[in-house]
Amino acid sequence: MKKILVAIDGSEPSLKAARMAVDIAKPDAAAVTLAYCIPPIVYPSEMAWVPPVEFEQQQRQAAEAVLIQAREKLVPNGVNVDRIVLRGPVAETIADEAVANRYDMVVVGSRGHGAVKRLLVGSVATRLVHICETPILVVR
Amino acid sequence: MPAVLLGFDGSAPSRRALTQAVHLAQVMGARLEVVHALAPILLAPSTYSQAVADIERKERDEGARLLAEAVAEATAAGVTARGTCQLGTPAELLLDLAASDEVKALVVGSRGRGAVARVLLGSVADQIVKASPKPVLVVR
Repeated sequence: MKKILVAIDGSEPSLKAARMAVDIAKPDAAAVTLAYCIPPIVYPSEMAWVPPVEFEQQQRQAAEAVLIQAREKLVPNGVNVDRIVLRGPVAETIADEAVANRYDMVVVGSRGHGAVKRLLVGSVATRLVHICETPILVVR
Repeated sequence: MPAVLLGFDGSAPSRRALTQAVHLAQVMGARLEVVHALAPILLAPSTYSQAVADIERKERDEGARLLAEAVAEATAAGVTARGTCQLGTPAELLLDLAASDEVKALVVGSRGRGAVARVLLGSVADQIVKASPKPVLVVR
């Protein structure tokens, strides 16, 4: 095990996923990458006065902030933790990233900010389990 | 001692899951519990014949052989492992065992011997991801 990719959206299950990824990475001195994926959302009309480029920059800054916060909540214990911001349909983009950059494992929280509370597994985790070619760990 | 639970039916994905489960047990300092489910043959008692008994015995023997194989692979990697062969549906069996406090994670192949080849995710993996109280690693 050399590289572990964690899908982060700042939700508690995603932070739990990150903690577990660090635990798994430690004995092998594997590297952990926290990934935030910005979904392709409709440009909200109340943002219409913001130029698209600036809007994208704001999204990116918000994503970076979530990743930095997540990183601060981790006790890395010597594990190398870095971060990336991705763009696109969340599950597909994470799955592609895992294959493209040869990650050994993907770790994801069972549901993120978006999921309806009574669901045990959110749509992103469900979709990832279906499409991800890399071994995928769903953390409750 | 913490335990990693593995569903094993001898299919190619379950063999890849075995490799991942052994590794997970290593990094978690856990033992490995390998589970093989025997499908109950539902027949009226009056129709129960020697032929059915023979099939059941064959399946039990086959299960025991698969478990011995899996346990040997784990032991060779320095992981304490034990095999259990039980009557029941795989998902229910694994989820029942997963309720134990000792179980820290479950590992399953994305599809077993039962799934149609074109299905990316079998029903067992799907049910386990949806209902497991513990982290689940799905291996393609």
